[in-house]
Amino acid sequence: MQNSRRLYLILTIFVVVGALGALLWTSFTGSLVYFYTPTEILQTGSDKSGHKVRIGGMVQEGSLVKQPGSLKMRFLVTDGTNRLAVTYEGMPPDLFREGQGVVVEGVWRPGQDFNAGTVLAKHSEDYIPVKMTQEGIARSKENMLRTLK
Amino acid sequence: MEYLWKIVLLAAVLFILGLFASGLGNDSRNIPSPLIGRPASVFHAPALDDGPEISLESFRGRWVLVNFWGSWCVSCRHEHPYLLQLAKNTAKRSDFVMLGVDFKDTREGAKGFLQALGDPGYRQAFDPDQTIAIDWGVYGAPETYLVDPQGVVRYKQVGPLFNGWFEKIALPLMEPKHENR
Amino acid sequence: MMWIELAHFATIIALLMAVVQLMAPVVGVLALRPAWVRVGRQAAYVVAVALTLAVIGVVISFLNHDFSVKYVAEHSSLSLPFFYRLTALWGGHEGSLLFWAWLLGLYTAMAVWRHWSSHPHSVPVVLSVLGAVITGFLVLILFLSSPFERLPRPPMDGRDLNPMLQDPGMVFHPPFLYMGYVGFAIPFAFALAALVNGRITDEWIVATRRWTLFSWAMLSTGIVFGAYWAYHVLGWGGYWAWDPVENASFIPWLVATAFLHSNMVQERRHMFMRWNLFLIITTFSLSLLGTFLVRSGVLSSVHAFASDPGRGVYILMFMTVVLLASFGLLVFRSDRLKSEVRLESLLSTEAAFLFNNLFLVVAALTVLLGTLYPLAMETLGSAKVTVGAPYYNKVFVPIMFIVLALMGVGPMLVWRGMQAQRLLRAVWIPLAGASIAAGLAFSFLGVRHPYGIVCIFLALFVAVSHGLDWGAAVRKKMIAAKQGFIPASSNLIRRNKRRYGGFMVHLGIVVMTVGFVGSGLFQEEKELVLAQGDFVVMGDWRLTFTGIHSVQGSNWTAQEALITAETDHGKKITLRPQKRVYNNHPMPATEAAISSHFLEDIYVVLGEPVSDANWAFRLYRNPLVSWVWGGAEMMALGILWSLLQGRSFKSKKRVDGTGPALQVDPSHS
Repeated sequence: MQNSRRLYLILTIFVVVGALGALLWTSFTGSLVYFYTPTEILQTGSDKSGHKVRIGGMVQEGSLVKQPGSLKMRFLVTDGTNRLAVTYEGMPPDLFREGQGVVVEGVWRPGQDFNAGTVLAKHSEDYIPVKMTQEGIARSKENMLRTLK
Repeated sequence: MEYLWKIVLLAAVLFILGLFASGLGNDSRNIPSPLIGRPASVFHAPALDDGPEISLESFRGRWVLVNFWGSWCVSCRHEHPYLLQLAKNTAKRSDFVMLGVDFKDTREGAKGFLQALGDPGYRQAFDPDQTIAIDWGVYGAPETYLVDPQGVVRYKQVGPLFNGWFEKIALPLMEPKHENR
Repeated sequence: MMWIELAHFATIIALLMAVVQLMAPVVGVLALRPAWVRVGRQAAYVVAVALTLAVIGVVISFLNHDFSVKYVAEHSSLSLPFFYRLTALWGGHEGSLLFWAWLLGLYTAMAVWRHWSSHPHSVPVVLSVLGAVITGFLVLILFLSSPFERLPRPPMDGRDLNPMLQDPGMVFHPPFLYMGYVGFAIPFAFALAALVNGRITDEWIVATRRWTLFSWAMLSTGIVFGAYWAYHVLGWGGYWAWDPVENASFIPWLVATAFLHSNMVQERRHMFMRWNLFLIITTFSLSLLGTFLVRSGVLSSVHAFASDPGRGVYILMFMTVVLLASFGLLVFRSDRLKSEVRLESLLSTEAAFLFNNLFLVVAALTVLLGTLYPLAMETLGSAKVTVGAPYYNKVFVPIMFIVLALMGVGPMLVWRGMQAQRLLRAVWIPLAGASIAAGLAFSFLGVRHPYGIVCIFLALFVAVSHGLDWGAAVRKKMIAAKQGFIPASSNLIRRNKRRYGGFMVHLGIVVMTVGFVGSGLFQEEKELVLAQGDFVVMGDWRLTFTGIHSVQGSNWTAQEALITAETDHGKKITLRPQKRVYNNHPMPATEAAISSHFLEDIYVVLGEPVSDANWAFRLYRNPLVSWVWGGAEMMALGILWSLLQGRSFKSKKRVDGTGPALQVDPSHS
């Protein structure tokens, strides 16, 4: 009697863990969002076509164009080597601006402007102070680039 | 069965520690600079010590270590002893020269810094409005570039140079080139 | 002016004394010289006092605006309000570590003082273990991450505290979180003491029960404060984003929750002994990991970890020593416990706890996996990935539903086992009630999402099963003591604080879950451009943009929009979302306007001007968010009530002990 109880218990645990494992595995593969720099995604080309991806880089200075009277905008994301045109409609985060780090998320369609559903400007711990700007700007830019990944 | 959980437990602990260890080693602060393998952008800049203007081109034919720093930068303070030592050790090399770029700084600040921590003796360009730094794609200080005799950037060090950096990183880049020529 | 030097000096003393605290008890035990153990005790007291001085020194430097102190210059400014200067101590990495070490010093002193005579065998090891942890922290603070550093050329004004940290939520979030993290050090040290001494009885569980409860309460509160802060400050309309930094505090919470339940099983039935040791060691290790990772940002990006290579290597070495020593002890010493009591029936409280533990630990693993996977991918190879909310929604939420179901069955079960018929008789009422509620929600409220239905079902199931249990107990009491309903129930609740405190916590969690699901599934979001006089409809609300003007705070200026929200029933409120610019920071910061109601929150974020009179707005209608905060309050009340339970429980349970012969501490009276 004792033994069969134990057997039941082990079996139950086994089934439960197995089911959870299966659940885990199936959801995991579907929920990964890959991160690329503009250079990487342009090289990848059509491989990731139709997939949701994140692309990170800097908003190129002077590239941000806002459509008057609406929340539509277009800008270039650069990693220093390649650039990618991004369109977005909505309110960008506070820290979004030209020359700052940005991560855009959306579906990759080669040959078209990247239509971002989400724009993230990762807030870094080191804020940029006005009076001690020198180090601040450099540091937070560096951090921004790092946290982008 | 009795030992299984022990092995699994210890393996899991070691795995996670290993993950962090390799994450640590894999210091991705080495953001590949688009400048590497390309000609360094040339500059003519006033010298910090009011001496003659400094031009990068005048160093052609020698390896140039360009160190971006500022008196406001805490890590530069930590890096400074190594620069002093490196300047002393490489003073006799004819194929290698060091160059500092003090950016986003004031002359008094920078001079105070050198007075307090020691002047390594090599030339310092003064770049208060950060033009050189922007051209070179400097994200922060300190950053150090190694430029080859042809004026091509071969290496970029983000963050302070560490003890043994020259032997470990600069020399291997410099030596094979010698043999080729 | 010399406060920071005083603090620095006090910390050096604390380090020296921490080493004494670590070594002296070892000598005392090995050489059988109790005097040495007493030396260790005095050292622990000195550590506590010295670290208190150190913390006072840093705080006073903040209050005095001593910008020659680098840490003050980086985290404060002349215009920073008093309240935030007082709490800027934990505004950065260095100060947080000092705060952590200080808490540990205080806790150690308290634990030694409390348990000195009652647990003479454990105390020496506890002293050494905690001394080692404090030493590790103080070395880090003094040599690699010092808040005491002076600037050679002090600036006129500091660079100010990060505006995002200038919020009450952030003032309370870190200290509560740390009080929780650090609190687990005490049961952890007692567990190691049990392993070292080879006296793996229930003593350590009993001794540290209240420490565990307290730490769990603090950790829970800290996490909720963090969520509250995110909701109020980050301006994206939510409070939990499965961000690695959030997960880092949530994983230890899950494991601690498992421990909280399974230690009851050990206390009552002397089972799960090894498992409990494993859980508390894991909880504390994860707490350490959480402390380091959050501050250094390892999880969101490995790179920040290495921002100071020396620091990263040191932290890793410290973690390695702690983890290997503690898990090593567990692996090599736990064979000393021989007679584990076997589970007698699957229909028993202990079986329910077993499954509760299993699922909680699996839940913790799923979160850990999601958090570490990007790190592993990046380290092992190539691709950078993020694991987002969809993963957690798919995996974590169902597991938590199972835990809720177990929570509902819990009160109906008894220790050791019961007849299936008896359980069936008890379970059908809550089942029926829950099914009816779920059906009503489906047909009348139009809830279609499976998570919504399951959540309503489970919430009712848990509430009814707890209510029935309580009702039955009250009825019994009324008959036995011939009392009325109110005296009987108040007696009951006072007599068994632990049980009914636990019930309260459970109900709090149910309320929170309803809040989670409600706000997660039924959020309504609108992003649009409004001119003055324009209105927008959200649910029952009509929101009109009536004007915009500037306002001035002590260290910021802001554009403030006025939004009038009206319902048909004549409710009228004005919302004032702001776009702030802090004096010392060029970046604007969003200050969302939130109007909380019982059933929903209206949440308005002001964007930028699109043209002269047109402003961008983001508006959310967040159903049931106030349930999350309300549930958290219930949870906190419940746990406070449980903490009031004296030691009476312990002496009672000795009687029905059926496990291995208890090695009762001889000195324990």
